Amino acid sequence: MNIIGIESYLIIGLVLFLIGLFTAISRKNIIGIFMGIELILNSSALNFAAFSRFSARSLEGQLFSIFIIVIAAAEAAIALALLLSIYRRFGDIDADKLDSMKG
Amino acid sequence: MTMREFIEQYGFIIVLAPLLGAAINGFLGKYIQKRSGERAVGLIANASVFISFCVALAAFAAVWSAEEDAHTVVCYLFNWLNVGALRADVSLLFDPLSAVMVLVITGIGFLIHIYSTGYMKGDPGCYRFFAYLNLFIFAMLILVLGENMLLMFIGWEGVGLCSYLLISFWFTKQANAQAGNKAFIVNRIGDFGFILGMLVLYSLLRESVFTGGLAGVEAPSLLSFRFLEMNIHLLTNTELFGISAATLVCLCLFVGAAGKSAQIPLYVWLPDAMAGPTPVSALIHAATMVTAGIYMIGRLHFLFSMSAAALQVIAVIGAATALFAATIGCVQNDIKKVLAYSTVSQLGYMFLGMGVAAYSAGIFHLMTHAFFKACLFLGSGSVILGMRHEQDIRWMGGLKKYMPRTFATFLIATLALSGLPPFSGFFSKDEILWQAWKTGHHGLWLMGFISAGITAFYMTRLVILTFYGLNRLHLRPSQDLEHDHDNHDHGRHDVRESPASITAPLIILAFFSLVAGFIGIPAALGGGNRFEHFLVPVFGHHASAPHHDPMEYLLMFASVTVALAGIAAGVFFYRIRPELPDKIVSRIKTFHRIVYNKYYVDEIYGVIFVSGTKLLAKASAAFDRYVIDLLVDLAAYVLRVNSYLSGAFDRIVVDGLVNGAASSFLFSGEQLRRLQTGKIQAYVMLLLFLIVIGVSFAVIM
Repeated sequence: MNIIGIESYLIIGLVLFLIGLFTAISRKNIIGIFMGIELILNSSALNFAAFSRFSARSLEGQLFSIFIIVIAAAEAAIALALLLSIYRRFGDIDADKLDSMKG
Repeated sequence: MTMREFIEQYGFIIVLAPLLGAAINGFLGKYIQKRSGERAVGLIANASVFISFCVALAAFAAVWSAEEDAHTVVCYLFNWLNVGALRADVSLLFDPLSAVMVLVITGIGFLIHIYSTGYMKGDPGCYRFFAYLNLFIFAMLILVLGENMLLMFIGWEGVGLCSYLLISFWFTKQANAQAGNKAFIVNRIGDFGFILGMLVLYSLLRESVFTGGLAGVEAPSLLSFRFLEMNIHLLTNTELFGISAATLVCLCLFVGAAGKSAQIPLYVWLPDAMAGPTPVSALIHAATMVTAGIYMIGRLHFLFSMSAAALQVIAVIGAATALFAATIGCVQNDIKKVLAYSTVSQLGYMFLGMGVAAYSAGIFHLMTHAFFKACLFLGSGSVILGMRHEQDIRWMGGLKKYMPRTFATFLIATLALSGLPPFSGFFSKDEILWQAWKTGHHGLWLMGFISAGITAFYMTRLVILTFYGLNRLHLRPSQDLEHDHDNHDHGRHDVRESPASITAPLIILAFFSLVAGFIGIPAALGGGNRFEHFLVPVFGHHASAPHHDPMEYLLMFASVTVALAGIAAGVFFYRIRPELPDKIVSRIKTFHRIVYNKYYVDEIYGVIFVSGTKLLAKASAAFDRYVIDLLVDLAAYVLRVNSYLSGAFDRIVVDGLVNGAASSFLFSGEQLRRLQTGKIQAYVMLLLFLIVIGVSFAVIM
């Protein structure tokens, strides 16, 4: 039954996280960065579920995963709204060009 | 309530009333004068002195009616000083001596106040004048009634101040202001002597009282006259600087007396003091203030009696002043100057009397002199008013016709001053001369005797030039055009008798000049010399009072003769042969010039003291400029260098530190701002990098 151990879940979570991190750092397009962040979120949700599955008797981890999914949905809505207004303001969504906060 | 109790409780009214008058006129006078005219101002001043006079009469009555051994009435007011061994009370001492003085001051003062209402009419500074005059009366009364030397000194300074204020009353004229200054400064010299004497007396007395065992008494009022009189014997054998303490103290005090009473060598201020209004000359510079020195000696007679040497000095200076001033009086042309020198001369007589220890004779002459000299001065004021402020007797003459009342009173006072019987001056002056002879001072008697003749001569000259002959106003060389013009137009025919407010005091004073002598008729003439008897509680009995000496009659005859001779000479030179004086003067030109210029004493003082002082001032100025200034400049320079250095330290080190700190922050900020790229991904990279470092650090540890 338990052929797939927790290590597999954690490795997939780590891989997902690193892919997401790399995507968030390397992408110039804000949508790309955003997608990277989604990946990071999902990797952490996977971790929650995995830890919950293998250690605790309750369903707290799954509950957190569902929360994360809901929050990610809300976040996505807000982020897209922000994206739209950024595009309206600057006419671009290239992250490198949005440096008006430069010191 | 008996008179005595009344004075003990309310005697202070005598001094309070003039003070109040002075305060009212001094503070509100300007307003009152504007509102109600000079009359109101004069009324306030007169009323205050009149109240004072009435209470003074009561005080006199209290002293007069006192029983034996109780001739002193004290009106204690309050404790003034109480510091260690020094105690002084403010209390008023009424005894026969001060009672006589107070009567003279308030009585003559009151008459002169009345006179002033007439004399000062139309003067815009009327209120000021009366305020000063009242203040003077107050100060003089404090001087006379003060129970101790400190209080007397307050009055002593007070009268000096008022004298100064009144001499330079018309202060817009340079000469008047200078005369006031001169009087004040010369008086200061005398006052210094007074203070010195007082201090020496105090310190010596304190020493002997506290070592000599008066332990039971707590802090006695050392300078109180009654205490002094009882304890002065403690100083009998004390010596200081090789001379007896009493002599030293007496000489110091005599310097004060000589200053106030215008004796050689400090008499120079009195003739100049005639710059003041004439009532002032009469009240202050003839009747009252200038007698303060004589009064002081009389008050401290027990001290002066201890020192034969000091008395000798006083007698000699008195006689010398009498003679010296009389000679100057003969050649003066200003009517007031003649009277001024005459005053100096008469004060000399009084000092002669004091000096031969005939205290009551000196005080007697003080009193009679106050009457007739005040009368003379007021008469001269009346003349000056009539002549429209012409004071030079060379341009007067013939005023007898125009001013009969002034003339009559002036004549009576002149005869009194010349010492003819039965006028008051005869009795008092003769008493002094007789006492001088009796005590063996024959030389001094001769000086006084000669002065008596000269006095009669110059007074006769004054009367003849002023009142007899024809008016010579038109002969006057025109000096100041404006004045001259005024006089030429109506001067001669317009000379009128002065109003009643002026002649009434004259008549009263002339009356007293005539009769005041009768209270002191010597025993030799069948009188009881009541005045001397009245003063016995103060001065003690005279050694040989009842003894009759035929010499006394002879001297009396001689002095009447010399007075008559003086008068005859005056009449001869100025009435019968008026051309003679000029001839004589041209014969002895140099001598006349010397006497006319008052023996050049003022000039000598000018050379010695004024130039000396100026030289000293110049030397001080040079010292100041070259030494003190140098030091000050040096100090300033050092300070400047010092402050430059500390400025530099501040600028370079302190500011450097502060600025350095600021600029280091600025620099690091500049560098650090580069971190904030504004690029999200750069931030994330940095975050990641730091997390990696942190984690790996945590793992390694």
